Amino acid sequence: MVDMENEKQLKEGEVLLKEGIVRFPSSPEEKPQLIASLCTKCGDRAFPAKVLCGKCDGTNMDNVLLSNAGLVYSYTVVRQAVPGYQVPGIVAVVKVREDNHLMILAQIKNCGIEDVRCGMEVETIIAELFTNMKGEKVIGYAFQPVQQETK
Amino acid sequence: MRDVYIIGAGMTRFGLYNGKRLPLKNIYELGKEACLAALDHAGINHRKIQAAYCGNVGSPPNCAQMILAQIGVSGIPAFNHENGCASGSSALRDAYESIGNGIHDTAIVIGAECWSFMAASGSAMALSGLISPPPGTNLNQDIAGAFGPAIMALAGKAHMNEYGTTKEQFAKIAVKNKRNAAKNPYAQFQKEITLEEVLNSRMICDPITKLQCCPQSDGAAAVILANAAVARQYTGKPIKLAALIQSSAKYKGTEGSLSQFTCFETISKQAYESVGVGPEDLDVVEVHDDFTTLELIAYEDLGLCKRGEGGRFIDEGLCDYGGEVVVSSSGGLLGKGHPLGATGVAQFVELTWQLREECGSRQVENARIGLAHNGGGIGDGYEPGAVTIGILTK
Repeated sequence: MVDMENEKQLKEGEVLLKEGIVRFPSSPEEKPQLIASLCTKCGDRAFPAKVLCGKCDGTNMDNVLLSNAGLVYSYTVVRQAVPGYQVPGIVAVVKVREDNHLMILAQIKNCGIEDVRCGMEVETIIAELFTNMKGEKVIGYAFQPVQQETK
Repeated sequence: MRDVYIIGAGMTRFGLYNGKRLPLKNIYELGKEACLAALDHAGINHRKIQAAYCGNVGSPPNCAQMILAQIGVSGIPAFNHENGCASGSSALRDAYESIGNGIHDTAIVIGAECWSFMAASGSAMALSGLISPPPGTNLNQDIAGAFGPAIMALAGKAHMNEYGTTKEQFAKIAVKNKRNAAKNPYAQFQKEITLEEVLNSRMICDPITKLQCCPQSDGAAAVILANAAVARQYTGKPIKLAALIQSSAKYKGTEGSLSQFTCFETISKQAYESVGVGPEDLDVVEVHDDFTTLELIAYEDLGLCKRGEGGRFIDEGLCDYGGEVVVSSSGGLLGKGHPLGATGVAQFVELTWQLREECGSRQVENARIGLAHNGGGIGDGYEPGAVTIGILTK
């Protein structure tokens, strides 16, 4: 069982989208990771986490941290959204590294709308997703392109 | 199970009943008009109806009872179904089960929706956006900010990436469906549009442009169901509701692909098998074309063409008049309109009229077997929460 409790590092005027979905880094060396459920019987990973297994009759579920690396499987540029969202913005389905069937819907940040591609390598980040009706910034998970190391 | 027949079908015109485009009307008025049209079409007295089922998403409670009270129908079991955009077909499914299992001999199924009236009258419910879940309860909706078009755009993009489907092929579906709608006096849109207009309209979520999104609509539809003995008394043209199967999205149903909707594929196979027909036997099909991408993928989910060939299917006009099967003869959600709860029932209204050869200039020649494909809401993953496939035969 992984320790999921961590300081959330929210600023004034920010609220967390939901508890228990993403583990904040506890040091600058760490990266944020999504919190999935893991069925101890069949090994199915689910995000958002399930309380009972959706693949088999397993009833014992652990929490597991997903790799923060993934690939963009499909994407769209949203140009009209409900109030509070930044448009244009990129919304993608990301396949995480360890499980081809685990598809995460997420905003892609720090990427030009012309630069996003299917197959692009991305990593999990903590980001502002939208502004809620109370004017608070809602913080959750997103992905950004992996920075290429300069040699 | 006993055979179940549709003996009458009626609907209002779809559109915005906001006092501008169309007269200001509330959901109960629209529901009443659809019920009267269906009763009249069947030639059955209102007092012969034994049970009522109503599909609706955004009305105050007891929509069916409020509609039926106006037309002298009371003291019968009445059920209201909310199942997103598949609410109407969900109501129909329970009516079908009740007649099929001998619980009732007749039933009325209503689908109704009217947001314009509620918004125009300052209803707190309409203005508060009650239809959206509160933040934190549906992560996918929170993230996308434009859930319907974004999910259907992601599916379309995956199809383009996997099979080389083009944005023009999706756009052609809007042209076809609005051309069909222009021949349907019940449709919201009565004007044909060109491929250039579709492609050049405002981008919503690429590859989906504005003219590839269904409109906001109000309207109502109703059908009368009966067992064989009752059906024979009332009509020489009973239409058999040969199969009506419903399910919900299966967890990881797409198994790593967004370019198909496995739930539709699964239940359409069940429906074909139970009737003893195949996709090649269909004459007319109403699909849930809320966005063009979903109609193209539906060609493949329903087996009208092979996986990956949806683009060719529209390019060659095989889903149009003169082709292999006519898809969305009514104009579909794109052209006829999409009043959420009414949509699933209206698909069966169109198919009943087609099989009875009452569709005028949009009549599909020798239409004998029809299929309805209706999906709604959010399920476990990226497929709809409720999916319905119905097959009608004459």
